[in-house]
Amino acid sequence: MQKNKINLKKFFALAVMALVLLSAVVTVSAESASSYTYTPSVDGGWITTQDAYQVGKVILQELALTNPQDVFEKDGKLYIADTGNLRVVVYDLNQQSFVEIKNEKFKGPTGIFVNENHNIYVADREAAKVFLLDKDGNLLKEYGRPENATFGKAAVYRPSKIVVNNSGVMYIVSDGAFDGMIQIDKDGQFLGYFGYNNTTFTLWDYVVENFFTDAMKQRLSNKVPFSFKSVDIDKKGLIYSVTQAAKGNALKKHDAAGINLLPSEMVDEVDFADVCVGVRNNTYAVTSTGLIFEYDLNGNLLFTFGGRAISTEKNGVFTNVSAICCDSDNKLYVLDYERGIVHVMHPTDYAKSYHEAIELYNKGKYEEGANLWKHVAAVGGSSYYAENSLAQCLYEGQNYKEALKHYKTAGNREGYSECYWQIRNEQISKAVPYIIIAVIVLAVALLIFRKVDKEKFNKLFAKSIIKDDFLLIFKVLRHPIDSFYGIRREGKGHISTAIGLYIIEYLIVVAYFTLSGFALIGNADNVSVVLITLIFWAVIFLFVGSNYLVSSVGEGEARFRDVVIATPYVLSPFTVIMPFIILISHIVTLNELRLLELAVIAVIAWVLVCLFIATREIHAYEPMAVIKNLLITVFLMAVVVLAVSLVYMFFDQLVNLIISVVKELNYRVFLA
Amino acid sequence: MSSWRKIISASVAVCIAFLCCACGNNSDAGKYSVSGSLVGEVDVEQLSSNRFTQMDSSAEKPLMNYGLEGYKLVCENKNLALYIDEEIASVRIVDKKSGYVWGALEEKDPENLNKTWGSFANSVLSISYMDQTGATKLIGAGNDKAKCKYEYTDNGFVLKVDFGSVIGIALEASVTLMDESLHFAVNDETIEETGENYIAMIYFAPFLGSTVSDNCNGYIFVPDGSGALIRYQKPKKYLKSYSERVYGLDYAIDNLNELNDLKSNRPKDMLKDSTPITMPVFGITHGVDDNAIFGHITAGDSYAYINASPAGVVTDYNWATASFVYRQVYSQPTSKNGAGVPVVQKNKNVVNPEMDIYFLSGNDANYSGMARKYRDILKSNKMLVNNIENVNTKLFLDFVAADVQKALIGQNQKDITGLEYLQKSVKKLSKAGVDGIALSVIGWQENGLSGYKKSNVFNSTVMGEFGNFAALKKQLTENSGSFSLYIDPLRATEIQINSRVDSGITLSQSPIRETAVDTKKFLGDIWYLKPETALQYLNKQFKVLQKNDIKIDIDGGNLLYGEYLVNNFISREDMKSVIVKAYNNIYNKQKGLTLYSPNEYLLPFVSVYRNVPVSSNQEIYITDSVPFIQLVLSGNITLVAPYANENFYSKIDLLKSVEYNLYPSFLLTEEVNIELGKTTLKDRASTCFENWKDTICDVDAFVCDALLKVKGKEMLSHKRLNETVFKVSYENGDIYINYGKDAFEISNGIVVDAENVLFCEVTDDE
Repeated sequence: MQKNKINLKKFFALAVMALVLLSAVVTVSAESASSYTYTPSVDGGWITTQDAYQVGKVILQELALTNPQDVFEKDGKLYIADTGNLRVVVYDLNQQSFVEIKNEKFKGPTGIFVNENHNIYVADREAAKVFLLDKDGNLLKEYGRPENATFGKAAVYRPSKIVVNNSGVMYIVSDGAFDGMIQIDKDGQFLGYFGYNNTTFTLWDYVVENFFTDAMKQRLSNKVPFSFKSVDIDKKGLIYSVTQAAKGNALKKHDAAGINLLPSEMVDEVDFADVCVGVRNNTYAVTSTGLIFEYDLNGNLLFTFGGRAISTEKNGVFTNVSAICCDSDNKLYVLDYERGIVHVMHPTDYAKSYHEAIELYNKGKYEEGANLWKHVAAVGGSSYYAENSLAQCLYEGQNYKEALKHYKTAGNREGYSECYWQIRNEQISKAVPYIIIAVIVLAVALLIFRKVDKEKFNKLFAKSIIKDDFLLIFKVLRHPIDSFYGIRREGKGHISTAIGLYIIEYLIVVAYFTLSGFALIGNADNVSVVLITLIFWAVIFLFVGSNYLVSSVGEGEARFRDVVIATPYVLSPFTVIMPFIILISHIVTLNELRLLELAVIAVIAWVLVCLFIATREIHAYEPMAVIKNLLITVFLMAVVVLAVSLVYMFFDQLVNLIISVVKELNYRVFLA
Repeated sequence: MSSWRKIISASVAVCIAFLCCACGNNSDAGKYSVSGSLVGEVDVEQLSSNRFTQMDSSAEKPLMNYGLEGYKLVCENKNLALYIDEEIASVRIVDKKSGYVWGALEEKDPENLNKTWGSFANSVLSISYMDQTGATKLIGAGNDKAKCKYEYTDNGFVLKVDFGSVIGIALEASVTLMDESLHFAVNDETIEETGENYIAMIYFAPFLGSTVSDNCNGYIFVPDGSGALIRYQKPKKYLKSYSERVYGLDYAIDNLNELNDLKSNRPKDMLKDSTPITMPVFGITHGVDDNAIFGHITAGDSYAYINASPAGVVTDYNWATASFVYRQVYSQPTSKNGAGVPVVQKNKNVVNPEMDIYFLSGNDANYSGMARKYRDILKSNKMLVNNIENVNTKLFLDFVAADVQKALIGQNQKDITGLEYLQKSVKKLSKAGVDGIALSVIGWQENGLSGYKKSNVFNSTVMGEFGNFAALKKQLTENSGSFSLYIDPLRATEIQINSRVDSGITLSQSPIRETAVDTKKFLGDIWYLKPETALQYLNKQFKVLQKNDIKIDIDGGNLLYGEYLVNNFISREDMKSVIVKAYNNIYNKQKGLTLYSPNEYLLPFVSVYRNVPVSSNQEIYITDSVPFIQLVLSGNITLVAPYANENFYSKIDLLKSVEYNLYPSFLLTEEVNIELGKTTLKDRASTCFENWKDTICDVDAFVCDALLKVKGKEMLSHKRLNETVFKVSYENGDIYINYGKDAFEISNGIVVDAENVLFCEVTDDE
């Protein structure tokens, strides 16, 4: 199911600079939910959309819960691990009554799970035990530290969260256990560790690994993977986990072997406190600050809502969240451990339509799915998920033309490409007659061209500086050494044409980022032409200036004129080939795009070769001197950039200082 | 082959390839051929949230038992008698109609309060004061440190209280027994500050009508959102109590920047804005339809807070009162990024507070009765007049003409809706049988909604000359509709004003500016204009529009802030009169005015009230939302709900529109939302008319048809009958709203269908 995978890299990059959202002037209504619902937008940022969940009741206030750490819903009852009061509370949602289960062995229950027989598993971190209770709260069994040799003496056993599969195998999240979840069968035998978090490998780790002695490595290598924070299980027995500080894959869905089935670069937070699985295998993760994220079964983000109560306590925003659970109607129960209350969140029509439309797609009812997605997209604005899902339904229903349109709107290059491949096959067969005609026309045109009096033609394009200088671009491609020698020694090229070439190259760069095919660069809407302009001209000026300065110190023979003229010719491969790549990018699919990307790399390599030759010829350097010259040029460019930034920062600080002094003076002298 | 030939042949080949390219045409992206309405089903469980009114308790509980022992009679009239205990400076009021005695605390010296709180609670006058660092303390007139002198008059007394040499504050308050109310007043000139302390706030009988825990049935009523109840419950943990400033914050003093500690990758701006208080009232009930008090602030409202404290916050008492702020602590910025030092306001506000407490009993002793009482007060003061007769519109459509959008360099104008499109849209709706459309155009000025210069007077619109609207106006008025242009005079984005000239100035001498939570948001910061300058600009523009016979709608009716430029300051109270004068002028000249969220003092000039809240702000201690604003204003002012296409289009919302007597509104554009990503309309989820047209027809048919039956009739009462059915009584009959999945039988054979409404007319016999 890669088709509906969000382009997460792009997403992440843009999420950072996402512009949000409240418009400045027209009054915003503060009705329904207390917090905004956000969804990824088609332009790679975020948008507010219709409320996905609204808070219903806030319950359990009368229970005086103290620091409760977990909540579990089963058949209309909420089971709460009331950690601070050393008890388990069972709250009947229909009767609005509760019973408490106390046991002198409880030392701080933090995790709770109820199986099909309504037996209650309680993970108690302080007691270092899992307690199995019957539905009336009678203690059936205790699971202490596994005694198997395989568990290891140094292994940590502090059960904080627990889920149990249909065979009675317990998956225990233990505080400080870095090897994964502890798997214990119903007899208390340790089965092994389940799932794991990878350690990250940084540049520093590379340095340590390759350059340090074993003794130093031993002292420095205290790298351990993150331990899991919480866990849930779906009806099929798949385990879901959240890990704090694991950016990009904080939420995991483990297969039977513990391997993560979700993408490794998801839209998530590093602060997830709990996870729960909905009726349709949609997953909810919540941060301790109360931000709730809903994902589909492939880990794509549907909505995020909720948030922290800071200056005002409202229904639907939270002080500190420890757990979340979900019932058969997709109602969410969010446990605020600081206040000891549960907020009940109801899905709105909007969220229900999402769920229903996803279900229709999964069942293969593409036409109905597409119709419902149209409704959802109409209500929700420019939501990526709705637009992309609509495109998927249309694609599966073989309505490629429509699907292509929606894939393009959604900015999904993979989907677009697959769709375009289907359409292109049809179109090529239709276009064959036209291509044949075009080829004939071309052949005739060439024949006529050959018959034309060449003298006349040449007169038409009288020998001019411009013609010679522009044709030099093509000569550079074939005979770079001669060409650059010519520039330095034979006076080929002129400043005026060089400036013209710079402008053409600038336009090609802009065209690459704005006019390339959708498959090559995606939607061009977010590209800042101003930024491209700035970078292009800054690099050109810096290079020409730096290279001239470096070479004049390093006994290079080139005059400033030569550097200015040679530089655009260095870019000749780019100037000649890039327009073709831009044009072709409109008719390729993603698979063929690899070839195009290869071509781009080849162009860059060619440019580098030209740069080397140009530097050698115009400065009359030996090969080693060329490399030295180029490296110092790059270094000088970096130094200039750094210097400009420093001057800017100092100036900004100076302005700040002056403003502070004036404000302080104003306050002390005139207002006090 | 020569180079030229190579170039030409290669170019031709590429052109052929390009011709073969068949990229999908995306011109209609964002429009969905949706047939049918987008309205869904009712989720009945939502009715248990505090966005809806709950049923009164059926549990038998005693009322409060305030004795008169130790109290002496001050005066009495046919309705009320006033008693006082001079020792603790506490009053008792006997409601002669019901015989019920009202007081602050049942005991002189209750065990569950310490001495400071006990005296604060029992006193008829209490204050808070602050030292030079801004540290605040409470004290009541009944405190041992305070010396009280009483001067009795025919209908009350004057209390002279000196809070002692340590505190160094003295003042006089008058307590007068009126026909149906107790009137409290303080003359600012009597306030003396002789020590190191400053007066911060004044409270009149703060604990009058207070109850303990859930010992008694009843609730506190606060004017939060549409109106809210805090039913008495056992003490619970809360972060803070309800304390909201009447007419919202004073932007020129209060800190506008929202605290935010979400260290998230997703946008941090998460909390929707709360609706500020627009009516300076509060109430308390004891028992179900037994006894109630209703407080109305008659003077000093610009500096008033409504406070309501549920059991569990500091004390186990439920108490509610108004307080009046004389001084507050503000932040004096000393750096560019806004960081500063807290400073106590130097000069005290001119408040001269006055407040009436009314005593209600029987069928009046509930929020409906309070609303009726308030309506009567407003009508007798000519603060509420019948403005509904000239209004025939019932469906409010706001089209955005243009907005400013980010461009390569700076910004440019983005045209969003064309005039021709407007005409076509109105035609489409008329064909579908929709009439009474009030069409308003937003962002009609050059550079659009968030880009037009506030100081400019526009002689044409982005849709063309004013005269071009003639056909559209005719089209609308022929079908009982109206046409107007939208203006938001007081708020601006940074590109709309010259901040040195136009921006209001705070007490700390910086521009009044609200910084967006997300600092990268396009034109996210809001600047507030100098009130007088803004109203001058408004007036100039209004004159031009009036010449062209075009009406205006004004946003920001709830904005009230001072301008504190040294040596030239306008207080919050002064601004009130400036605004009243300006809006009165416009109201008279265009014979009616559509105002967004107007405060109490603007009510006489409102014919259409836009953006009426549909629930409370959902604070955690609030148990119910009630249609208080609607009870007060229905029948005299046309009330309009927030935009339906922003979270208010579901079936449950339509039923609520009928319950709350709110006509529907939509924010619309011709352009699809995908195209608005670079404008300030980016946050508007879905506004494209094409996507909403069927829903508009459905909403109109459902809501307006029901509400037209009670048009121009005052709302008398509102009650929840059972889990799913509400009854709203009007002068001419009752509307039953059934949210449930089953039909509800009202009486013999009269049935409200599931998820539907029914109007039962009152016959003469009844």
